[in-house]
Amino acid sequence: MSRTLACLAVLLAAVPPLAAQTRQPGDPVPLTLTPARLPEPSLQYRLLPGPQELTSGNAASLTYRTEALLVENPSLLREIRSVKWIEWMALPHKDLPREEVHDRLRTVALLLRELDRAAHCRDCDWQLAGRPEGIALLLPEIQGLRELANVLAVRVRYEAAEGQFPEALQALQTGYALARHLSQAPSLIHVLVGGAIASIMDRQLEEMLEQPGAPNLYWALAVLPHPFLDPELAIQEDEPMIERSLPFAKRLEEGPMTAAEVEGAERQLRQLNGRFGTGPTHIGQEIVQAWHYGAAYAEAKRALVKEGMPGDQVTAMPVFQAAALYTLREYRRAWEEYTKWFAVPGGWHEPGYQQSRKRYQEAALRLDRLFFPENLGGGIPRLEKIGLVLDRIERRFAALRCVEAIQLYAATHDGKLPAALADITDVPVPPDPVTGKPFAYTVQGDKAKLDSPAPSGEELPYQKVRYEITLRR
Amino acid sequence: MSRKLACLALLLLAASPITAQTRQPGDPIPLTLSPAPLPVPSTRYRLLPEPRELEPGNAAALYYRAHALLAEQGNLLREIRGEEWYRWLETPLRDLPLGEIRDKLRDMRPVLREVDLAARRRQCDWQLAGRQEGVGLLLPEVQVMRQVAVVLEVQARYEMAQGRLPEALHSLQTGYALARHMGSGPTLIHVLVGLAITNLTDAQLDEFVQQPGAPNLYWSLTALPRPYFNPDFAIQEESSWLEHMWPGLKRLEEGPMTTAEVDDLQKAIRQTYDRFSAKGPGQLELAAQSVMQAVAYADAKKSLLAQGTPAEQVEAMPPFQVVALYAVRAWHHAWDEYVKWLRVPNFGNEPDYQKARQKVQEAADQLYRLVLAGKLFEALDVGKPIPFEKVYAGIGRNERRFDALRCVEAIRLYAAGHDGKLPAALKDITELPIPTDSMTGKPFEYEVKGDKAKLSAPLPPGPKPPPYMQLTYEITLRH
Repeated sequence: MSRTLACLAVLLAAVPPLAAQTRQPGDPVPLTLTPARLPEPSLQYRLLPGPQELTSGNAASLTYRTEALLVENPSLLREIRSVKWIEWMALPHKDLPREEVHDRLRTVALLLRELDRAAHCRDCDWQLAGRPEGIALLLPEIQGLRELANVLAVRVRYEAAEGQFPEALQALQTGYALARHLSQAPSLIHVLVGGAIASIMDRQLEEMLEQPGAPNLYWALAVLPHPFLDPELAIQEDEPMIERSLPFAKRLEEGPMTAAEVEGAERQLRQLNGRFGTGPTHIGQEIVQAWHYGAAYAEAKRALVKEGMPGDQVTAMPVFQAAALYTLREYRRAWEEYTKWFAVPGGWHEPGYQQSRKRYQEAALRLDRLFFPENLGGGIPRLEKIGLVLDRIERRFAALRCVEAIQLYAATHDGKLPAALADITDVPVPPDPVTGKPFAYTVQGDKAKLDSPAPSGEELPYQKVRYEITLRR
Repeated sequence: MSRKLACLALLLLAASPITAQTRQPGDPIPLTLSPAPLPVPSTRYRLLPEPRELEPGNAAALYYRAHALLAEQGNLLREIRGEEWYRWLETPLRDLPLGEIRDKLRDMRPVLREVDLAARRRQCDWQLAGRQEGVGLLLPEVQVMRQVAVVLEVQARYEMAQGRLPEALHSLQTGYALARHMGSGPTLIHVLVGLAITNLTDAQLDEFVQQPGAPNLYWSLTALPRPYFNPDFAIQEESSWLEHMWPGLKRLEEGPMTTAEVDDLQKAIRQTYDRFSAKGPGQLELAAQSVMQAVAYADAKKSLLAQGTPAEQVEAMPPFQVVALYAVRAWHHAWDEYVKWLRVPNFGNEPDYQKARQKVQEAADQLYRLVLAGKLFEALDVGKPIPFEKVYAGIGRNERRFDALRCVEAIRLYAAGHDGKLPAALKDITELPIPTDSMTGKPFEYEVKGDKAKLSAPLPPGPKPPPYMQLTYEITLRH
């Protein structure tokens, strides 16, 4: 699967958590809760393994090994891919065929144990950074991890339905750790899959909180790292990934190329396009591509001289080199301007980000036209999608902290809902991390609504977090 | 499959390289060679990636990733299991269907790429040491590595068939590095699979040195780390299986236990049955065990006192602790007495090694009777003696093959400096040190008849070894 297709598939899968298919994105999530005090100690339960539980070792090795265990075991592979897991994720706890689920979970215990070990590793290095394959690096193993996350989710549901909350939380920890480890990988696809897995786990967490006797997880949520997904490495790696895919990129900077060198570079480009099917598909595209080289050349000459390159050197450069060098330099600069906003929390909501994004899109389009006759398309990263995933995860954690704060308030106030979030004084009530504003909270009769205000310019339904809370008496 | 069965199966595989199936084990290996001087520099061609080529990172992660790619791509998995790979290992180079192989290798590229990168990593940590599964740890991924190695060796043959010797050598390097990484693993199964992969690669190296224009690899062979396989880590892990599986056993040594602690330990042992999805011991078995514990108590107490455990401590111990501590110590003692022989050359022929082996068996039986209970542990061969002599014979055979090939390369060098003639005796070669057979410490046997020479490994002392332990090269020089 090409990276473009993989990105699209992951995004489609990531947006509406499978278990939530009966609700439309943006619909309020009904939560029927029991008042619950904080556990003692308040961090008795965690959503990621505690620091003292971590062991030395590389989580990625054991995650790969989990999939490796399937190689010699086709029945287990079929089991993991069974549609049953997806069906069970959508079933209410009370309707789960517990005996059958128990037996199936026993069958896959070997895999879950390996994932659990991975979750407890202190380090995670997927060993994919700096890979010379560039955008040609295939990542078929990623899809398998999503399937394993479904199994983990069913385990959470099963344990929660049995009232075995420590076991349910252990499975949640494993799922959240897998999500976070994926987000620390050097590709945006990993980050998106990490986001999808975190969403699957969130859904299980919501349902677990509804179970009578479920512990209050306010502090477990509060101590999660922020941002939960950590795409820094993926962002760092994405720009050089394009350059690594173009083996001649370095040579462009080293003085005028000979005709033979240009020919070699063009051959490399043809090979790359041949491998991905991104080359010109008809003569028209070839003509347009040649025109783009010509157009870029004139602009490139001016720009390169302006950047301080000696005029005679620029003049001595073949058209291919000057156009390619300018295009790559501009792409690099635009990428830096674009990604710097990700160093600012929620930076992708800033007006400056939009300008950088526009410049990046232009640079990316020029690069696509020149090297891949506009066939790369979605293969050029659009980081705002990552931003949306980050937002969604952060916002849901913050909203769930509010929910737990409400449960705590009710436990100390005769099972009553607070009239306003400001009435909760036992623990800090977090604002919506996307907008920085408090969550909207209203009480009507014995129901409360917790709603995330829509950030400016963003109305995507699946970005909203809305809970409709009813307290059990 | 129990670990013992897996070990035996692997030993058999390691003993008879697939490529040699048309020859019977022990049959002479014919080599048609061209004289070849040393390259400049003399270690220009390496059989393991050069240290400066190594990248930081853990090779095992990438090997696992190669497996993960296979698991997720059913067509690749089917492809790698195709019987044609094995056929191509035996097909003479000139008869290989190059077009078909090229297409198949192209399909395999993602997997080979990962293995290639892994082979050039600085560390290899399989992250399986100290695992609580102990001897029950499943290793289905290990066997696949053998299939990957077969594909690698076909790649080497494909390249040799086209005269692309540097590329073929690169594939051989990857095979040798993969084998050594496997051999550094924490179980004897890893070591044995490593040996099997080396055997596969050695067979291609035999082919490689016969190629016209093949560089002289004397110093490449000499520069290989020796011994090439060191099973110490795997043996250490085998020694610690009890404490890995039941960490609570360590508590036995730390003064008298409470009733609750004893209950916890017994529960942990019983839970093992759940872990293996096996039926636990029945009431009758447990009752029988209690009787055996009661019978053993007096001896156990006496033994602990004799070992220096203070009397008041022994008296304060619950009976289970006394009996369990006695049985666990007895097993460790027997095991240590057994594995100490591994440092002695040809230990397999030592009568005291055989006695020590029997003692381990008895100690393991006692452990089953008094502490573990039930058939599961017996079925898993937990704590039983391992045929180390066979493992070490495999390691020795590999060392010997490298030694013999060094002699072969020394002969090619001699021929290059002596008008293409064979030396009359190995001692006539003065340009380089001629290795002895590391298994026996004796010189290789060498005789010339007409334009052919025969290089044979001397037979070790004791009974005549099985054919697969014999090694003979029949050398003809091209003119």
